Amino acid sequence: MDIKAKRSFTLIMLVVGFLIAVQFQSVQQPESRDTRDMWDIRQELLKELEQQSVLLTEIQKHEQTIRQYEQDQAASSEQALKDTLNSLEQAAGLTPLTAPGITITLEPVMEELLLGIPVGQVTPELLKRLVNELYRFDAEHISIDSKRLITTSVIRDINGETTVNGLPLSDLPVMIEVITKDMESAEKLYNRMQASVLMEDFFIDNIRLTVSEPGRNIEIPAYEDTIRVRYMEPVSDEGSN
Amino acid sequence: MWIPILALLVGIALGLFTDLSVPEQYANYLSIVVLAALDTLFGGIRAHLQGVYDDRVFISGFFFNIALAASLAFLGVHLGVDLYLAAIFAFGVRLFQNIAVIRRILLVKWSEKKKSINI
Repeated sequence: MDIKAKRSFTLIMLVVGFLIAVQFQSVQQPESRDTRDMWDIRQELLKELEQQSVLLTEIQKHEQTIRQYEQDQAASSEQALKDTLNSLEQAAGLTPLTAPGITITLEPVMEELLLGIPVGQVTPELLKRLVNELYRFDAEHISIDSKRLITTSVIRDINGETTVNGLPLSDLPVMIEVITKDMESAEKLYNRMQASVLMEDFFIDNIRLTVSEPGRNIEIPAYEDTIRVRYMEPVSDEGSN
Repeated sequence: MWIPILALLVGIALGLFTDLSVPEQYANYLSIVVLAALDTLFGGIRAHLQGVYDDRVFISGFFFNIALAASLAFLGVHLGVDLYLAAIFAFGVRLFQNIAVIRRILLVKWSEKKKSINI
């Protein structure tokens, strides 16, 4: 055997030996001899059983928590529904409200009273104009002479009497409560009303329109009748068509 | 003759003492590589005994066979065909043939030696 061959063999042998050792180790590694006797194993088993029971208790506890959460969730969805209902009722005008706003008083012009001219009524046109103007100036809820205005409210003349929601207005003076979103809006509304031409329009009809300073606690009553919904239908859940 | 065997022992010792182990999913590759190495080794020994030994063929055969076996196993894993079995089969058969040839040559040599002593 010449030197070159010997060297090659040596090299290859080294590599093969290394590979075999690594392979041997990889195969052997997971196996470790079990030297425990029966009592040791029993002890181990006992320990494991204890652990299992602990884990089972834990699982039970967590499951209970989950159940609790589910119940809470159901309850809270109910709560959410209630909240929604409340806010909807509030928006529809079915609840009395106390919030920042202004009060407008319509009263007959004193000079006319002195002259003996009978006090007229507020015409529906004028009232509508006032209401529209108020809404335009960011009024949220309005009640005229304790009659809450809602989406379907009508102001009209029935047999020569001005009515709101079908109920006649009392004689002058008439109070109009207006509620706004917050105090700032109330201030703004007050300023706009002060500058509005509505005052002159009312004056032509011998009515003086006075706007009170914005107050924090303006109360307006709830709408008293039931709201009849005639032309609306609930949307079906499937939403077919 | 004893230097390669010493190298083998050194290699084994090195492998054991480095505490190197291959992850289980690569154990297949390693086994086939070991088989290829053994095959080449015994092929080399046989060629040497037959007097047709070529250093370049031996060394290149060693590394080439290892690479081929490993890549075949790799391909087999990715094709879902146990191609490494083919490599194991081929190497196993050649290993046995080589060892058989080595044995015969050694036997012939031994009997010749005995004859010459007797004569």
